[in-house]
This record gives sequence, structure tokens and C-alpha cells, in this order.
Amino acid sequence: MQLRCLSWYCFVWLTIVAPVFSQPSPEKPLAPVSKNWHIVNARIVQSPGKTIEKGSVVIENGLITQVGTVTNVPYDAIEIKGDSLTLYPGFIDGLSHIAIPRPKEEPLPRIPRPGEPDYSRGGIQPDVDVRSFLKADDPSVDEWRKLGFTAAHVAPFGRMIPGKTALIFLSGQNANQMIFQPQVAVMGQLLGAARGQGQQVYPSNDLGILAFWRQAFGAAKQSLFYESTYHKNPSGLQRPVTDPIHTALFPVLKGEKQVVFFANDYIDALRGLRLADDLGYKTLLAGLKNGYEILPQIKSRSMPVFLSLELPEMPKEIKEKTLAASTNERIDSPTKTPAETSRLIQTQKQSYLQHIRQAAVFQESGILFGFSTKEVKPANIRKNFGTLLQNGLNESQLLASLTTNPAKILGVETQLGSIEKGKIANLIFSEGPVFDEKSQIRMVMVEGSLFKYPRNAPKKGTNTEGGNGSDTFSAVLGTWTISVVTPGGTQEGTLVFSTSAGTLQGSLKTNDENSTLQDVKLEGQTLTCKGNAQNSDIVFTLKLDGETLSGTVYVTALQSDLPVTGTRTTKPN
Amino acid sequence: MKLNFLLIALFFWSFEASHAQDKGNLLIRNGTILTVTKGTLEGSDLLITNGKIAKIGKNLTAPTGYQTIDASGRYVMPGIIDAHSHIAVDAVNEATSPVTAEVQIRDVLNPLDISIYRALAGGTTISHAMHGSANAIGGQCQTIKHRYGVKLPEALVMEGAPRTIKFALGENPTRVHGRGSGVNPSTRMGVEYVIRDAFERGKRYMNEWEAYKKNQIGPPPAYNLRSEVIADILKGNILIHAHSYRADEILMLMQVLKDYGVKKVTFQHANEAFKVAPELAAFGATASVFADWWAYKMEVYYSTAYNASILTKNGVRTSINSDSADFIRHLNLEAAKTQKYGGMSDDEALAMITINPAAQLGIEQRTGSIEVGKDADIAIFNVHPLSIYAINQMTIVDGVVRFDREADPDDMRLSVRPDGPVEAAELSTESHDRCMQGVDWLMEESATTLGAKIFHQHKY
Repeated sequence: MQLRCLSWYCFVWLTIVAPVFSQPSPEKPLAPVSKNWHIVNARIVQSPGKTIEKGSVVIENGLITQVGTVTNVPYDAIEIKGDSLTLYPGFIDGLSHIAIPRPKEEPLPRIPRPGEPDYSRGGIQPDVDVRSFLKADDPSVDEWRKLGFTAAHVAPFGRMIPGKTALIFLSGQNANQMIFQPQVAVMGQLLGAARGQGQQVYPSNDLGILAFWRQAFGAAKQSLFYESTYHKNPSGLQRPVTDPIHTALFPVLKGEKQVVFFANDYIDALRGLRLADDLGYKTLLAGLKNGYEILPQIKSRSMPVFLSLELPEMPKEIKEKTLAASTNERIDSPTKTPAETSRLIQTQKQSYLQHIRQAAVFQESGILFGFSTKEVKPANIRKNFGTLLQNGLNESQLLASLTTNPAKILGVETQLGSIEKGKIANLIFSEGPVFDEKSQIRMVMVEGSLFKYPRNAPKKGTNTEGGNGSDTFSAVLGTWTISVVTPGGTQEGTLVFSTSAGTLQGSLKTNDENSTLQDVKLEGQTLTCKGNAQNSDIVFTLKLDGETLSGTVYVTALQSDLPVTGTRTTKPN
Repeated sequence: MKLNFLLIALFFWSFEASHAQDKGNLLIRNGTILTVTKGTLEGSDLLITNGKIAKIGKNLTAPTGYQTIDASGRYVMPGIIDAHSHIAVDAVNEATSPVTAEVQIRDVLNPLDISIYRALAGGTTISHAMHGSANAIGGQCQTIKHRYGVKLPEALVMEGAPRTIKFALGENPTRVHGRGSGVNPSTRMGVEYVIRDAFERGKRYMNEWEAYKKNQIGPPPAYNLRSEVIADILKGNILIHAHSYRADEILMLMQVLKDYGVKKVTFQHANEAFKVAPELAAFGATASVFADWWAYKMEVYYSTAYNASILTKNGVRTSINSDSADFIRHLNLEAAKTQKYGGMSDDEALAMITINPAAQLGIEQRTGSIEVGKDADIAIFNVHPLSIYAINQMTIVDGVVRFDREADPDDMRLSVRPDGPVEAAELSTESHDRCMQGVDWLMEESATTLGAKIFHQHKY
């Protein structure tokens, strides 16, 4: 009886209670038994393009003290076995609202003269500091940390000038612990005053916003002038009356701080630049989605930018493989013929391609850029990394734009951005290449605090590793009908893959030509191969997803990547 | 997979190249040239060098590198100028305050607006992008050139054009502010008060600064951008364009301006201007009117299609404007109506859409007629532009062909959303309502009570 009781107790303990205890909590750092760590035998990507294939890292009190060959391990260092892990420097977000709860949008009371709000009601609040809004346990902190972000440049929510930003670490128990660099910049954006009940308040659109901006900066400039005159020799001078809004703008006017101007659209960004030029202060653009339109304007100012990490969804029309046939259903006006619709879709494709290639274009222009995560959903981040890599950015450039570049832009390159002796221990522990959607981030370290993330169960049917011969290649074998979106229209073709002597073979068939594909390679779900069409070399980079594929074909003659979609029409039994 | 790479690449390259150059060299040959100010020249040529009219005459030869356009059987006229429009802007009204002199249309220009191309298709090369009529003193307007194809807002700005500002009298400011927000003005008397009050503040501001500048001791007067702009109006540095309908309010504004020594004013719409034509002429004021459009609200009932002709005969410089993304495409036909109503001569009618609006915008030294030395802004019509059969064939801005009916693709948009549904490039059905754009909130907020009472169908 007693024995049975005991075994019953054991059963309950082992099956129900114990797993709960042994699960590492992803939310909270491990208990700080020691602040020192010894990471052993990991692959270390120190900085973009600089990798140690097998090495160790020692971290003491949140700082990296040894990298590569370790000679002196502190006695109390906790060892982390890194054999299957790759270490990356932690990502740095360029502008967002991470760790700041979104305020409730409550209708504000009516004001008697909506055309004459004070600065604060009108949305000019440079005196506000993001520090007072930081919430260490806001769910966004772990959401972004899980994705490898260890530091973020955050701004308060608000209207046209919501306040001062800060560079924070995604760890810490309170605002003081989180803040790495306070008052980095003053944030600005084209967002008019919040409405009152049943009324609009000045400034209600860009007309008023730019004018109110000029009024505030013009008045601040004048205050700055008189206050400095007064403080040189106050005797006999009327004392200046200070306004905290003006005072908060002084560092910007003195060139000590920048305005970080958030704008998705290049025309809005130009408005921000116009203000900076007219009023004589330094500005930094963030959130751009079509910044490729103003490369010369950005370049001539030697200005770095934070591009938006939000990318457009591929339009349905581009995904549809039978474009020409689907056009007739879209005729909804006498002016819209199938031919016109087809051209409209081409225009849209061009626009889509330009948007997803924005980062690549900035890279080519030699403009220093990072990314703002302000508008992107965490769930889309890894997909977007993939899109950027398929559209002209290589892994090391992408890594730079998430680590060394933002560190440089935010003036913290001596402390953050790479895995080097003396830098702060902000690290990503990834199972494999960090931008590969399949390799998970298992741990993230922020200034020596370790956060563990359990492995997600792999998706069914995606495991193609192991096996040999046709089993290995079964995901690709057969005939695929593909469509390629070219600037001159959608083109159809057929890809055929087979195996011969354990290697993949492929051919491309189009209306007027047949060609053999070279270097056909399947790695995971990614298929690459080279070929020739219309006297141009082409390179396919395709992602397989069951019976469909999507990706790009790089056309040397066009010097651009064209989107490809396809479906498998036959496969070997 | 028929990938015509070279052709495609060539297409994009040539498209880029055609917009890279802002001033063109052209020879327009053998057309009937309607100079507007210097008569009509049959079978004549027009040589354009670096965006300016270099020579007018017969049998001119083009230097190498010049494009030649054959205008045989065609009519070559100065590019049409619209003294009242709201195209190419992202915002029209900052309707929250009865005085918003500090806001600038130049800040909100949008070069991607397809309306610019459509205006070009009708031969219009310059428009006056105006603030709306919600406020007694609205924002500063911007004279723009229709350089469609440029993507930078500043590239639309007509460099050197004088500053202008929008005023608005009557029903629009009273219903937006008086009845909408419960602040001045709620009556025509209130509109006068608001303008005089603003002028008085501007004058005081100007005086304070002048006094301060003399010795520069102590704190400078509090910076006020609004008063700074008003002060510029009082100094005569900004041309006033006043939205107005009734004769009494036109007389009122002239009296106010006289009191403050402001001399240059154009009355926009001015449907009752014919009643006070001699007074306008005596003041030196000008008018920019619709050809035959009225009765869309109470203050616009007393109107006549003879308005423009009566004003012209009384010596008031008058233009015909569009205030619309639709009318801007056929201003030549609007001008032709003054021949039916009032028997204007060809040159008088054409002047109403060329040299007269140019004068009202202060750009008549550079545009508005075909004369040597002027900007090469040209429209070429198939028949005489005042004919009902007239169709514009080609539009040239600064010597650059910006519209050519023979090379006119269906979709000329410069930008489309990368992820949204594809929309056809259709003409908007609501092309006439931008004068009051930005005050829709009043309508929404109080759709059942206030809005229904104060808003009529039309909003100009």
C-alpha cells in the first residue's frame, strides 16, 4: 500500500511536475549564479565577413574578455557547450517602440480654439523622454529578443515630435537598467495633432505640421540666441522667460543631437530634409520604404538611414501564374482593357521589385544603413530577411545592417556590433546560419544575461536531410511549370529535373528554346541552377514548398532578379 | 520564354533619359503661331534654345542636336496657365484655424499626381496650386510648372515666381469656423474682422521688430511665423488671391486693403464682380473667374456667363480658371465661351488663359505669350484652340516635350502601390471638391445634425 502510494507519487512527479520545473523559462534570465561565462567550441561569426570556425569566448561581468583561443577562464565561469552552435553579434534595431506599451487612443476633450493649441496639445513634445514609458516586462521585449535583437533605438509614441529617444538593451528589470544611451535623438514624423471630440486640432495635416514645426524651431532659435546673450552678461538685461519645449530643442539647434525623422515615403522624407535644411539642424531618416528615389539627396548629405524592415507582400497578381488568362475578369471600366490591365500589373511588379530591392540599392550606393523594425510584425522578420537575401543583399551585408552599421550610426561602435574583446556581450546562439529560416535561435545573451529558447518541433514533411539518391532529391524531381515576371510581360517555361549517377540534372524549356541547366544544387529546400536564355546567362534561386516553388531568376543582361513562381505538374513514382 | 532583354533595357533607359534634361532645344516648324500679345503669324517657325524662345520667324534652321517638330496645319500657342487649381498637392486646407498664413503649399507638393499629366494633355503648362477656401486667410500658394515625369516635389516649383496667398470670404470660412468650431468668423462681418485683426497683429509685429532692430537690446519680440507672413503681405511682397463671390464682400476686401496700403489682389471666382467692375478697375484689382458655372450654393446664385466679358470691357484684367482637375484639361474651351457670351476677340479670349493669369501670378515677364526671351512653354493644337474641335496635340514645358498625343501610353502614373490591388488610371468622379478638402471631418463628425444643416452638396 505504502509502496503503491510512493510509486503513484513518483509517477505524478515524473510525468506532470518535473517537466514543468526542468523547462527553462524563456521569459526570465537564469539565476545569476555567476556573471561569467565560458562558451566553448562554437562557430563564431565575429563581425560580417570575419568568422572563427571553432573557438571559445569568455564573458566577464557582461563584457567580452577573450575570443578565439582562450587562455584564462575565470574559476566561476559557467560553461556553455557551443559545439553545434554559431555565435553572432546581437542585432540592433534602428528605430522602434520596443518595450513601450502602446497608449490607449482616448478622444481628447474639445478645446475652445482648435487653431491655437499649445505645443504639447499640437504634438510638439521634445521635452518628453522615452525613459518614462519603458516597461521592462512588456511582451515586445522577449518577442524581439527571441529573434536576435539585443538592443533597440526606441522612441515614445506621440504625434509630430513625440520626444527624446534612447538606445536600450532588451534586458533589465527597469528603465535604468535597460537604458544604454539616454536621449540619443529627438524623434519627428508627419503626424498631426490628436483630434478633440468632434473637432480637428491644429496641425491637422502636413501643411500645418511643417508650419508648426518651423514656428517651434524658429522660436527656440530665438530663445537660444537671447538666453546665451543674457548669460554672457545679464546685468541690465531683461531676464529671458524659458519655455521647456524650446529648451528641449536647444541640443538639436546646437548640433549636439539629431532629429530622427520617421517617414515611409520618400516625399515625406524630403519634407523632413527640407525642414532640417531650412532650420539648420542635422537629421537622420528612418522608416524609408522607397528611399531609392532619393539616393542623390541622401548621398550628398553623407547621411546614414534606417530603412523599414517591413516589406510589401508579393501581390496576388504577381503570384498568379496565368496572368494573361486572368485579365479578362478584371475589366471593370470601359477604359480598362485586358492589355491595359496586363500593363498595370507590370507597373505594379516593377514597384514591388523596387521596394524589396531597396536595401540592395542602398548597399550598392555605399550609403550606411540599418533597419527600423517600427512597423514590421515580429512574425515576418525571418521571412523578410529571406526576401532581402534573395534580392541583392548578401548575408554579410545583411548582418552588417543589423549589427555594425546601426552601432556606427548610433555612435556606439566601440561597444556594440561585433564579438570582440572589450565589447558588450550581446550575442545570438544560432543552430546554424542565422538568416536560415530553419535554423533556430536557441539562446540570446544581453550584456551577460542569458535567455534560452527551447527548440520548436520541426514542421512535418520539410525534413529532407539524410537518405541518398533519388530520396534526397525527391522534393525536386519531375516537371515544373514556371512563370517568370519580366519587365516585358510574364513568360512561361518548364523545368525538368532528374537524377543520374547520384547527381541532379535539369533542363529548361521555353517557347523557342531548350537548354541544359548547370550546377543544379539542392540544399535543404533551396534549389539553385544556372542556364542560358535569349543569349543571357541566368541563375535560378528557388525555394521549394511541397508542390510549388517560388524565388528569383537573375538575368545577367538585365542585371536584375525577376520573380519566379511554379508548380510541379508531374513527378516520378 | 521570350525575354526581349535588350528592348526592355532600352525602353527603361530612354524613359529615364528623357526626364533627365530639364531645358530643351527644339525647332517647331511651319505652324500658325498665336503669340497672344503680338498677333498671329502664319507659316512660322519657333526656335527654342535651352528652354527659352530664341527666335520666331520663317525658314529658321535648327542647329545640330535640336529636335524638329513639324507643326504644318497646326496652331502653336503659349502654354495655358491656370490661376486656380489644387492639383499636385497632398493637402489643400489646414482648416483648423481661420488664419493660417504660415502654411505653405510648397511644403506639400506631390509630383506623382497623375492630374499634372492630364492637365498637360489639355495644353496647360502652369498652374497656381492653391490653399483651399476654408480660412479667411489661408496658406501661401505655389505657382508650379507641369514638368510631369520629375519625382522631386521641388522640381515642380516655378523658380522665381512671386509668393502668393489665399484669402477666402463669405460662406466657406463662416461655416467651417463660425458654425463648425464656434470661433470667429460666423458672418461676413466676422470675416472682415478676422482679416483686419490679422493685419493689425502683423503690423504690430512688424513695428516691434523694426523698433528692436534699431538698438537690439533686451529680448527680441516673440517669434511668430503667422504674423511674419502677414507682415510680408503688408509690405507688398505677397500677392493676394481672394476666394469671393458677392459684390459686397469684394468691395469690403478692397476697402480693407486700401486701409493697409496693399495694392495687389486677384479676386478668385468673383461671380458678382461684374457688378463692381469699375471699382475693381479703379483699384487695379484683377479677377479670375469661371466661364459659366454657378448656383452651387446660396452666395453663387447671382451670376452670368457675361462676367468675364463685362470685366474685360471695363478694363479689369480677367482670367478663366479651372479650380478642378477636370476643367484644367480644357481651359481653351472655357475661354471660348467668352466669345459666345460677350463677343471677345480671339486674342482677348486666349489672353484669359495665358497672359492674364500670368499677370495675376506675377509671371507675365516670363510666360503667357510667345515672345523671344520668354520660357518655351507651348501647346500645339490640331485646329484653332478656341474651336469646339480643338484637341491639344503636344505640350512643351521649358522646351521639353512633356505630352505628345502620338506617344501617350495608357498608364502614365509614376508610382503605384507595391502590394495593393491594381487600379485603372481613371479620372476621378469627384474632381471639383478640393477647395474644401480637409474639412470632411466636419461632415463626418456631425453627419446627422450640424453637418446636414451646414453642408450643401457643393463645397467650392
